Amino acid sequence: MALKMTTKPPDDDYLLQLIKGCRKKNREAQKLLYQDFYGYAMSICIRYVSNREEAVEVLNDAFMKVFSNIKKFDISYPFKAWFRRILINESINATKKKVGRFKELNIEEAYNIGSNESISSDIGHKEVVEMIQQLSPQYQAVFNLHVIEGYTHEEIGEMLSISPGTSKSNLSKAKVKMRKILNDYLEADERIRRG
Amino acid sequence: MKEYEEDNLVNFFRNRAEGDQYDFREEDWVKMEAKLDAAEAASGFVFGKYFWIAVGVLLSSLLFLTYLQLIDPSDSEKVTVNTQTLETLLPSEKKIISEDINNQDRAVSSVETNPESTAKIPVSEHGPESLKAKGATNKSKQLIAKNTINEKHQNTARGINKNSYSKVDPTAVWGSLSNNTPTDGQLVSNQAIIPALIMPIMPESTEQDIDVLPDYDRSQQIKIIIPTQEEIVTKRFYTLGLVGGLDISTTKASEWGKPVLRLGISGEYFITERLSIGVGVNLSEKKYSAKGREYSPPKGFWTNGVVPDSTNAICRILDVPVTLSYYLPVSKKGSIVFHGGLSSWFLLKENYWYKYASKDPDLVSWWGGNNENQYWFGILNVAVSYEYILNNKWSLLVGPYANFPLTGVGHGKVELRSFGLRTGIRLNKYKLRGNK
Repeated sequence: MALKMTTKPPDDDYLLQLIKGCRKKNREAQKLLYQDFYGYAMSICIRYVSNREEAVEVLNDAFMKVFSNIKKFDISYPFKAWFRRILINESINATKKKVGRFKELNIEEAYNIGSNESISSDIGHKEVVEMIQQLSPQYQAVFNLHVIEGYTHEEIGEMLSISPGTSKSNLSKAKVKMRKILNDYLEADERIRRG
Repeated sequence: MKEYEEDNLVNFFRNRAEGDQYDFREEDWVKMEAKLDAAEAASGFVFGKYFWIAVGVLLSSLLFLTYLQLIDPSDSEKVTVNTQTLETLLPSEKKIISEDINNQDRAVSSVETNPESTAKIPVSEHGPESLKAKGATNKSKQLIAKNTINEKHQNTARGINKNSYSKVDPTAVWGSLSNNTPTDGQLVSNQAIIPALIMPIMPESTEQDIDVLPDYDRSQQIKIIIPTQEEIVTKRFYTLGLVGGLDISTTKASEWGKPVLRLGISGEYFITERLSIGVGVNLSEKKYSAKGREYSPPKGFWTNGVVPDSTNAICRILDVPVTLSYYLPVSKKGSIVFHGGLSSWFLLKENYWYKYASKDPDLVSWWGGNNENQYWFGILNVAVSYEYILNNKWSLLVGPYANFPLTGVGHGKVELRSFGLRTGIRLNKYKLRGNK
């Protein structure tokens, strides 16, 4: 199988070719698929863990699932959506391994961002990920699944094996914690600007 | 107000959380590749396409051998029973030999003939049936008729000693032959069996004219020839077999590895009746663990000299044993077989994973290679088997075996020992003793 290395996002035909290669367990095709979706996968996995090394482990586990189940993938559906679901599932599995059973947690204090306070547009992906990583794994998972992925509490409850009520509660507390983290960040940023 | 805050927060994170800003790192792919290799190697009996090709060849061979057995149950020349006449045999040149071999209810009848001559023996004089040997030539021909020899015939046979003469009642032999369906080969059975051989007179054999047709025509005389035992006793010539079993490996200081399947083919050539030399090819994928201190990789392999606590290995090995086997009969159909020899190991694929007490990610965690190590006659193999003769072609073999390396094996030069239980089915080829 002749495949060229590319840095461009995979188009449909190219992706199809890669998938066919992966189905034949062609190592070159596997590497190219890995390479092409590495950044995308990392941006998801890293939000569920506390550092990049852990994210790589989750990412590789997810790719293992992709490679071993690629024959089951229906090519008429978007690959990215299928892959994203695998990434999220693997991230949740990693979180479960880390914390054991999910439960409702208490939070020490709430901290509100003022309503008139605008959130700096200078904050980018890296900073956001660092903030999310400051949450405990339980809050991190619920926060990611609801706020970023858009799952309902019923869906989150099924995924994390908790009740929707616990999901809501954890999300509420995660948001309180996140506001505090964000506020601390903004204050620190302001101090730096003022010199 | 609160909703605004909620939306503000959600939108803030939702918009910024997505990103594709992580550059591909080669070292992450190396870890991924190690996972892929491990998964491939650890997928139990899924050895890859070459393994399945080998399994296919073995199964095809077995089917082919079975097919041959079914369509051609006789590999000796056919002898048909004619209920009316015995042709091809000129009475004056007939030699009928009957001998009981080793008191194992075996009897051999041998008749020599001139191919251009025939003799017809009236049925009325010799019982309801007589024999027709088809296609007789100077070349030896043989047949075996399963029979429940009556005591009279056995006594007649036993009365003949090697290199001696005896009178034989031809009706006894012919009767025995004619009352049974001839089959092939020289057979060993708990039933009485009469092999009838039509063979040339051996120059060194002694002969004597005797009355063999007392009730028929005393002017017709048949010569009895008693060949030496070497001339009439059959012996195993060679065997071909399919072998399968479970193999388990270990090292001196470690626990037993996982049992794995071992498949192969084997062949043996019999130097004497009880001694054979054999060669085989076996494929297995050994899974074992070793202590880090048992593992001796090339110098400088361990990162900063840090030796792992343990290593896990999966090695695909092609084992080519050359073995001497000694057969000790313990019953009419069974033998205990002692095997001993040297094996050559070819490590087709090696994968090792290293576990450390510390979690330092920089320490080497895996090594893999293909066709990196070969050991010619580097492994001592010993085994004991029980062989059970199913019939004149097939036999079963089962028994334990052990392999002891005379040298370190694999990338870590580990003293790897393997034990297992193997079973096999074998196709046996016999030949007349002394026949070339």
